[in-house]
Amino acid sequence: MKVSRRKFLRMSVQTLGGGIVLYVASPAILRAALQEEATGTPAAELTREEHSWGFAIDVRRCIGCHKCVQACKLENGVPLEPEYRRTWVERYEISEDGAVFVDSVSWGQDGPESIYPNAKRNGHESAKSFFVPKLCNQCENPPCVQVCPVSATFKARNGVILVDGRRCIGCKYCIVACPYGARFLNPETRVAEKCTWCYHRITRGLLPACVQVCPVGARVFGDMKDPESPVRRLIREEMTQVLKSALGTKPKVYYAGLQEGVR
Amino acid sequence: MNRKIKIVLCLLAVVTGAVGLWQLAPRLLEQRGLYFGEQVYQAETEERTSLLPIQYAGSQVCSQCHQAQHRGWQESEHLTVACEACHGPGQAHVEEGAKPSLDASREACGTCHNELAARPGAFPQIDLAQHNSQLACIACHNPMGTARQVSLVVPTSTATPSDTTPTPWPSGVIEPSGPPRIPHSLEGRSACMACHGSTGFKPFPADHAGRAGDLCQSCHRREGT
Ligand code: HEC
Ligand code: HEC
Ligand code: HEC
Ligand code: HEC
Ligand code: HEC
Ligand code: HEC
Repeated sequence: MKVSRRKFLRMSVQTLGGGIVLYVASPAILRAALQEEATGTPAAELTREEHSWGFAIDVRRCIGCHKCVQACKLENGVPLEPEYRRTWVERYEISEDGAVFVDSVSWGQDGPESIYPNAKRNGHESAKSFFVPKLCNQCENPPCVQVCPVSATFKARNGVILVDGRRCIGCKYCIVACPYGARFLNPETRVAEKCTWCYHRITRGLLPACVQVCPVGARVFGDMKDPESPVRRLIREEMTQVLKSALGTKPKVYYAGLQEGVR
Repeated sequence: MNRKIKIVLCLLAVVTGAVGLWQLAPRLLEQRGLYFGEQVYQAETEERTSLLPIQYAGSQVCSQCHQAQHRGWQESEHLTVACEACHGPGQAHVEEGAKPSLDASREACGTCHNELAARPGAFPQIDLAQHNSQLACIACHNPMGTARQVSLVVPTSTATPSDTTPTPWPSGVIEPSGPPRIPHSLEGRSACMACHGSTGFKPFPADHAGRAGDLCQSCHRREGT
């Protein structure tokens, strides 16, 4: 085949240009194709421009009933064995001489293990004790996202950190990287799993399951952009703090009434 | 000639590649991340996650069919306790008629009310092993208000019946299993204790000790009403 120089040059410029156009446009094309099969949630609900979610916990109200842990497991299909959990409740006991004991029962097949004897450990007399619910903080600077080698975990447009179970290779880097211990490896799917603030509920305008069943209003959820949302009100009216603020992860779960020493 | 074209083309490719990387790559990387089309996969994951099915329907949904329970609950101390905190997830019950959980054991109430040092002092707590240990909690407390308010245990006051008589169940809703109905006429039978006292011929259950005769009808109503 014989090609003149002029024709060859024109062809190569066209190819190059076409390539660039395709590279720039392909995500849009792919997205349009995908949106055709998946129906439902309007995209606006998912974007950050629409909502910026926040979570608050009033530690002074928690009664440690574990209804939140139960609801989370049943809502999200978390394995029922006690060692797997997306949210959990820790019991702190602080003795007269300042020693701190932490334990956490979990909700299993048969309800919460109803232990919780009033402690007296190694001769330490418990002076005060209280419950602290924990869950994923959906950090503004998430270490788990940084370490993922396959970009399976990422910050969704409404600020929640999600895991793409199809891309996750189960390497557990993120589990180690999370300073709050919020992640675990699902034994059935072999992918990393964590709390999503019930992404499928909040994008439908419902509350996360744990918030919905909390009998004493210790868990509060809402839009940080709405000054009248319950979460903004709690943060405005109470003294709140976040966990391990020194790490610079910028968590989005605010705690009211938290005792020093809780991490 | 052929060789010349090849060289020129190679140069062209190298130059455009370099210029492209230098000009475009940082912006694209910032926008899209390292992997081609990453944003697309993320959008797809957002979509997929948002479409997962829900299990907890919410108390408002329950009220559509269980109006009596809902109304009683709204006026009870358990107002802040979602139906599904006690009855478990209800979406399958609403959609497919699956049985919700109905645990009336002492332990079920104890999950919240058993006395624990770590519970806030203001929260009402009882010692599960001590508090009327022979009876089920629901013999004296109704978790959903209605006929026996949660804290209306033994009505101790001699309030007029209109204060304590519960409003009848609205027709067309599921009849709650309240206290047993009175199967007989009340004409000439106002002194209930004559027959239902502990020495009568149809004595009331042991948990009734202390219930005054004029309060029987705040819980028991005539059959068919
Ligand atoms: C569409 C109407 C409908 C809705 C909505 C509904 N229920 Fe029911 N529910 C029924 C019917 C009908 C029965 C009686 C079924 C039976 O006896 O088998 C029932 C029975 C029950 C029972 C008693 C089950 C038993 O074993 O006796 C409970 C508890 C209950 N529902 C709780 C709930 C809760 C909690 C919700 C809200 C999540 C809810 N229901 C929403 C129709 C409904
Ligand atoms: C504090 C726990 C609690 C809450 C909150 C609660 N229930 Fe119940 N519910 C029970 C228990 C315990 C029973 C069994 C009562 C019995 O056997 O007398 C029951 C029974 C029922 C029944 C069966 C019929 C009956 O009255 O015995 C229905 C229907 C029901 N609940 C619906 C609801 C609905 C609807 C709500 C929310 C408006 C609700 N419940 C809230 C604990 C609760
Ligand atoms: C999910 C937690 C939860 C469960 C389960 C639960 N309750 Fe409650 N109960 C509450 C809350 C919350 C209150 C309101 C407390 C308050 O006013 O501070 C309450 C209030 C009460 C009160 C009124 C106490 C008072 O004097 O103020 C009684 C009585 C009671 N519950 C009995 C029961 C019984 C009986 C059961 C079992 C059928 C039960 N509860 C199950 C959470 C629960
Ligand atoms: C024989 C009837 C009876 C039974 C059964 C019963 N209670 Fe009570 N309960 C009462 C009476 C009466 C009171 C109020 C007495 C008081 O104020 O000390 C009360 C008070 C309470 C209170 C309020 C305590 C407070 O500090 O305000 C709670 C909570 C409670 N009961 C829960 C339960 C639970 C849970 C069960 C089942 C494990 C149960 N009750 C079984 C009669 C009963
Ligand atoms: C003359 C004696 C007499 C008087 C007075 C009387 N009853 Fe009865 N009652 C009976 C008898 C007998 C039965 C058993 C009926 C049966 O087996 O069907 C009964 C059954 C009942 C039952 C149903 C018990 C069950 O097995 O389910 C209730 C509730 C009841 N009575 C309440 C009352 C109330 C409330 C009063 C007062 C307003 C009252 N009774 C006055 C004789 C009496
Ligand atoms: C606080 C509500 C309440 C009051 C007040 C009350 N009862 Fe009852 N009664 C019940 C309940 C609930 C049952 C069934 C469960 C049980 O065995 O405790 C019952 C059961 C009975 C039964 C036996 C039914 C059976 O299973 O055979 C009789 C008879 C009875 N009541 C009569 C009376 C009489 C007479 C009075 C007045 C002195 C009275 N009750 C006051 C709630 C009440």
